[in-house]
Amino acid sequence: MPVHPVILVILLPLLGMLANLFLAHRLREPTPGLIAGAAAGSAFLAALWAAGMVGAASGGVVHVHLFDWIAVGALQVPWALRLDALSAAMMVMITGVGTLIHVYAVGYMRGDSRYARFFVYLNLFLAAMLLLVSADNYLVLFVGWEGVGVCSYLLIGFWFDKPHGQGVKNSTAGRKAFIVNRIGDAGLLIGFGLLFWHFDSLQFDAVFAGASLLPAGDPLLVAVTICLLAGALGKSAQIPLFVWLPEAMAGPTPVSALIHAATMVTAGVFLILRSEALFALAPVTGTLIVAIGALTALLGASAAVAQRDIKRTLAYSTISQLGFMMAAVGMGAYTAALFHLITHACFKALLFLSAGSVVHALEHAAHHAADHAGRGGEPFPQDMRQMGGLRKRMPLTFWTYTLGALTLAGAAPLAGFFSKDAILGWAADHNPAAFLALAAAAGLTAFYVGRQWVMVFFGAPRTPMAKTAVESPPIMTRPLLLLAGLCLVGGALNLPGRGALTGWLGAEEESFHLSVAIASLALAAGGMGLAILIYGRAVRRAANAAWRDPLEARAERLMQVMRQGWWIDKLYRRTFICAFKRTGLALKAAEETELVFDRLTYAGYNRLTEALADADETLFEGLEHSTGSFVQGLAGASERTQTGQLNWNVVGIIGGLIVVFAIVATIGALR
Amino acid sequence: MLSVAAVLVMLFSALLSISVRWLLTAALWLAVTSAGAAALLYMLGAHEIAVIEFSVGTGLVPVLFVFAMSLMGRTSSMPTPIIPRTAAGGLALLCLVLLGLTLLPINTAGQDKVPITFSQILWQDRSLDMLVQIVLIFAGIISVLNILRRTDAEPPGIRHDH
Amino acid sequence: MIIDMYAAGIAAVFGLLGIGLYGLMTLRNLIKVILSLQIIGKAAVLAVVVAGSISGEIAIAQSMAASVIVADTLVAVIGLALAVQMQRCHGSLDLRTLSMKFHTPPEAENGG
Repeated sequence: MPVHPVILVILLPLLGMLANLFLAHRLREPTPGLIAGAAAGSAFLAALWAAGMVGAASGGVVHVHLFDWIAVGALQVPWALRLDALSAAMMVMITGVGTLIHVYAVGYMRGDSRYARFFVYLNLFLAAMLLLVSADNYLVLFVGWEGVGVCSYLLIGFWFDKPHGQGVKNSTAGRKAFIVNRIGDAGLLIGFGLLFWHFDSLQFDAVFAGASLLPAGDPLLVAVTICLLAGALGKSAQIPLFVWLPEAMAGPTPVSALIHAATMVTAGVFLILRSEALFALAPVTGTLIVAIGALTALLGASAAVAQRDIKRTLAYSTISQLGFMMAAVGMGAYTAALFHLITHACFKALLFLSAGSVVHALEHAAHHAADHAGRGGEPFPQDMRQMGGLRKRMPLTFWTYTLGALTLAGAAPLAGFFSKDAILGWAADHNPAAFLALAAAAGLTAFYVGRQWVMVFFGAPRTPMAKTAVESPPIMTRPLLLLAGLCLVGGALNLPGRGALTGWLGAEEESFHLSVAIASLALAAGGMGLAILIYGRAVRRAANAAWRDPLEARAERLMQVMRQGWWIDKLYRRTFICAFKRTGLALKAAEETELVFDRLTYAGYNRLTEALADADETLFEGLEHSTGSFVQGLAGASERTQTGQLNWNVVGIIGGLIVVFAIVATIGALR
Repeated sequence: MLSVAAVLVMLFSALLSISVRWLLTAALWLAVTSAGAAALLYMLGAHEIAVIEFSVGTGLVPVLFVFAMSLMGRTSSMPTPIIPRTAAGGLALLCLVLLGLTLLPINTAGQDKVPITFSQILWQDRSLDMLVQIVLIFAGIISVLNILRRTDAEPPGIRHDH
Repeated sequence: MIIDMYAAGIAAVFGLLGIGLYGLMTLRNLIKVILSLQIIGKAAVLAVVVAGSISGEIAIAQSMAASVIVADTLVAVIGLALAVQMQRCHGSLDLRTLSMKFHTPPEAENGG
C-alpha cells in the first residue's frame, strides 16, 4: 500500500516519540533531542510533499481513510485524514516552526534531568497537533485536541520538582491550564452532540453539506457555533477563558514558544476556520466572536504593558494577537486570519526563543554569580527590571529580538505588517467599532514591545547576572536566525494585490488599504517611539534592580490592575475558587467531629443565615467582593460534599447519577 | 432455576466480600462472586467470556489480592464508615430504582442476527481495539513494576512535612 | 424459561451494582475500595452480555465484555500496586488518614 504523505506527517513524530520512549535509557544527552528534531524535520519535508499534492487533487481535497473506528448505527466515525489547502498550510507551519524549536530545545534543555522525556512530550505534541489539523471529522479532531491539551499540561508542569515552592507553582499552573480548557471542551462536546443529533454525521463534508441546506441564522446553527466557540475560547485563551495562558509560562521556554504561542493556542482559531461553513451561516455568533476578539486584543495588549516578567509580556501579547485572529474570523476574513496565524507563529516563536535565549543566559550567569555575593536582591532571570544592557552582551539575540519586535509592532515590510493590516483593512470596511478597538490594540502592541525591547537590551546592566551574561550557543541562535529570515520574507506569502495564500485557499477577498496601512504604520511608529522616549530615559538613569518603572511611578494602581490581567483571575479566585476552598475547609472542620449528619442540618442552617447576612452587608462592597460571598453563600448548601475523600466523592458521583436518571426517567414518563 | 441460583450465590458472596472483616476472606468471596458471574454468563450464551471471566476473576484477581496483602502484611480492617450505612444504602437504592425506571421494562423480543462468531469480531472487526488492549496490558505491567520498585529514597513528588 | 434467565441476569446486574456502590460509599480501606470496583466491573460485564443476549448480538457483546474485563483487571492491578506503595510510604490504607495527610494548606494553592 503506498503511504500517503499526510500519514507520514503524523507518523514520523510518533515514531520519534516511540524511539525516545524506549531507547532513552541507552542514549546519551544530545541524542534524544537529535532524534526528535530529525523526526520533526522529516515531518516538515513530508508536509511540504503533502502540500504539493493539494493543487493536483480534484476539488483541492484529499480524503485519506485509514480504518474504521466507531461504527454503531448511524454513528460512523472512521479514522480519516483530510488534506486541503487549510490543513496543508497548518501542517507546513506547525512542522516548520516545530523543527526549529526542536533544534533550539536541544541546546536549551542541555543538562536537564529529564532531557529525553522532554522530547518525548514535544514529539507527542507535534503528532497530536498534526492530527488535529488534518482530521476529517470532528471526533478525530477532538482526539488531537485533547492530545495537545494533555501535552500542554505535561509540559507546563515539566519542572514540577523545582525547589522553594516553585515546583508546586509550576504544577498548579499545569492543572489550571487543563481545568480552564476543560470548561471550553465541555461546550465543544455538546456542540458535537448537537451536530450528530441533527446531521447524523460528524464528517466535515456531510455536516457542511447539511448545514448549507439550513437558512442563515437557524437557531440550531447558532447553538452549535456557540458551543464550538466555547471550545475555541478555551484553547485560544480568549475572554473569559484566557487566565491560564500567562501562567502557562511556567513551562520551559521552547514549550512556551511552540505550544503557547505558535501552534496549540491557534487551534481555536483553526477550529473556526475549519467550521467556516457553519460560522458563515450564523451571523449572531460572528458578532459575538468579533466582540470577544476585539476586547481580548485590547485587554491582552494593555495587560502586556504592565508586565515585569519577560515571558508574561509575551504571553499577554499572544492573547492579544489571538484576539486579532478571532476578530478576523468573526468578521469573515478567513484568509486574513490564517495569514496572521502563520506570520504570528513565526514572529512570536522568534520573540519567545529570543526571550528564552536571554533567560537562559541570565540563569547561567546567576549560577556563577551565586558564588560571589550578589547585590540587588534575589536574582530572578525573567524579571525585566533585572536585565538591561544586554545589547552588547548578546548581540545576536539582540538583533533577532529587534526584528521580532518590529514584526510584532507591524513595521513594513515585515511579515506582521501585511497580515495585521489585512485584518485592520477588513475591519475598516466591515466593522468600524472593531476597527477602532483593534487599532488601539495595535498601538498598544507597539508600545509594550518597545518598552520590553528597551528594558531588556538598553541602558546599563542592572544586576550582576546581566553584567556577566554571555551569548547562547549556536544551536540556539541558528534557529533564531532562520526564524528571523521567515519574519523578513513571510509577508510575501500573501502580498496585497497578488495574494498567493488567497489564491491557494480559493478565497476571493482583498482587504488591504493604503490609508489603513499608513495609519497603522503611524500608530506603530508612534507607540514604539513613545516607549523608547519614556523608557529610554528611565533605563539610562537606572543603575540597579531597585529601579522604578516610569509608568508605575505615575499610575501605580492602574499598572497593578493591568499587570494582574485586569483582575479577571482574581475575580475567578474570589468567586469560584474561594468558594470551593471554603467549602473544603469547612468540611475538614466538620469532619473532625464524627456526627456529620447532626451537624449538617445545624451548620447548614447556620451558614445560610450567615451567608444572607454576608450578602446583605456586601451589597455595598463592590462587584468583586459581593460575587465572592454570593457564591460562598450558595456553596453553603452543598458544602458537605467536598473533602478530597473518596467516600464523599462517590456520594457526589451517585448524586449526579441520580439527577441524570431522574431527568431521563421523567422525560420517559412524560412521553 | 440454575440461573436464579447463580444470581443468589453471586449476590450473597458479593455482600459478604464487602462486609467481612478479614481482607483475605473478602478476596475469596470475590472469587466466588466471579465464579457465579461466569456461570451466569455461560447460561446467557457467552461461552468464551464465561471462560475468560472464570480464569481472570476467579483465578488471577484473587491471587493478585493475596499477593498484594502478603506484600503489605496487614489483613484485617473494618473501621466505622464516614458516611452512615443507612444513608449510603438509601442512596445506592435510590440510584438503582431510578436506573430501573429508565431502563425497564426491556423489550426482550430479540431478533436473530446473522450469526457471527466471537473470534471473528474480536480479531477482525475490532482488531484495533485488540491491539490497543494488548498495549494497555503491557503498559499496566510496566507501570506496576515501576510502582512496586522499592526505592531507598521516597518516590519523587510525594513530600510530606510532619 | 429463556425470559427467566434474562430477568435473573438483570437482577444480578442491579444487585451487584448496588452492592458495589454501597461498598464504595462505606468502606474506608483502600483494598476494599478496589474490591468494590471489581464488583461493579462484574455488573458491567454482565450488563453488556445480557443486553447482547437480549438483542441477539451476543458476539459483539462478548467482544465488548472482553474489553471491560481487561480494563477492570488493569484497574485492580494498578490500584493494588498503588495501595502497596501507600502502605509502604505512609503506613496506612485508611482513606481518611490518607486524605488528611495529603491535604495541602490553601495558601500553597494560591499560585502567583
